[in-house]
Amino acid sequence: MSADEQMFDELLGAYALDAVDADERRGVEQYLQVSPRAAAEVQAHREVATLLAWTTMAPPEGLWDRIASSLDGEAPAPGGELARVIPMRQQPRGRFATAAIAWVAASAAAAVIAVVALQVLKDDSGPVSPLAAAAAEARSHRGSLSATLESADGSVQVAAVVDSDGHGFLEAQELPSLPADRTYQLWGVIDGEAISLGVLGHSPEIEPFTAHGNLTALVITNEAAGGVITNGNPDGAFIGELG
Amino acid sequence: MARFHQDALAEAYRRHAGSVFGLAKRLLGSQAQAEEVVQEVFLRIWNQPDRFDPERGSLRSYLLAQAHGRSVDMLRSDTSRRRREERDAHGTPAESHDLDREMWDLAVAGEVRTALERLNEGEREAIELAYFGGLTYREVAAMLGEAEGTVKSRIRAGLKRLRAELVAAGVTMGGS
Repeated sequence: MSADEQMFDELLGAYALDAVDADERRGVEQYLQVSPRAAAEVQAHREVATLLAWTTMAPPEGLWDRIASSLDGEAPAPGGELARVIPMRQQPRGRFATAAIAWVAASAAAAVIAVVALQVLKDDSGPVSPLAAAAAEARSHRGSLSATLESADGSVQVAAVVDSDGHGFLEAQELPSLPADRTYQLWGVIDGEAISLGVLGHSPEIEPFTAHGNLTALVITNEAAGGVITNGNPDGAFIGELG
Repeated sequence: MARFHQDALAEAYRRHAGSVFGLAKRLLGSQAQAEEVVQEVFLRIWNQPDRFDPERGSLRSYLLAQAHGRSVDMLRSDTSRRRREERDAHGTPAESHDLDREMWDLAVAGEVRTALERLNEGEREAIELAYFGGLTYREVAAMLGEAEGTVKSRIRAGLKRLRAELVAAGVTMGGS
């Protein structure tokens, strides 16, 4: 990583919070054009900022009327996405943890998915993209851990690496594409609990993630688009999807 | 057709205007300016719907990012800055520097608050001053008497830690 890249990387958090000056903002925005990894990080920070802004303060009465009266009938109509609302799923930790432990146990017993314990990394394949470069860099760090996630029949293998700061990369290109209404979801087993580390989409490639705590294993599941908080059907959800 | 889409905008307003207004009010401390931000944000998406890319996040995330950016622009204008400095000089607690728990009455707010409390003090302070105070990291550094690089790092690390805490708590990212 060059000194410039490092400088811009250090600004990503502040940039996501609109806490940089105008020159820095322009520089970061140019950097984001050439670094998908950095763009993904900014998006992740903004998602967190969205949650920070969570509030139920009622807008003043009459404000909508003022907006509606300003709408130009000839203006481009908003697309369907305006009406699309993805509900935020939120669940107490305890309930999730209990279900997750049961899920991991059941899955392991049924050999539906293979969970491979993390090992000290030795692999050093070459980078082919910014994310691949970042993954390769993570591999080169002393103390980084790697995992190979296998389908039940061993025909599909997915490599992952997690550095000592908890920054991980999943090299998921080998996963077969899913229908658009399905998604892969990554889970980490942390202190014995299965914790969602992110929704990967239906055709993931190299995916960055973050995991803190005593991470001992990684799991990929096949879920409905949008992902889930708990997996309620561990025995039937994975067979054949990775194999 | 136009009526249908205006209904869509109305639905988006119904779902998200409270959050957009709350964030702007919190940053600006002025109801009138916050209303102006809400108006601008919703009119902008009406007039420029293509600027919202659902592949890059939810509508809620987009609207709040727009509201935050516009509020910060207003906050950094001379007039607003002077008013804020006068307010601070008179010893009035800066509303934007203190998490107003009364505003957060949804379940997810509790998880967010808990996650914030798990950050170390330096990270939490830097994020709150930058996001809710509308300050640049340099201004945060000057205010706290810390090195700029330290504050930059704390904001970035704190956001990553917050995300991990929220994910661990079962809060799904990219929600509406």
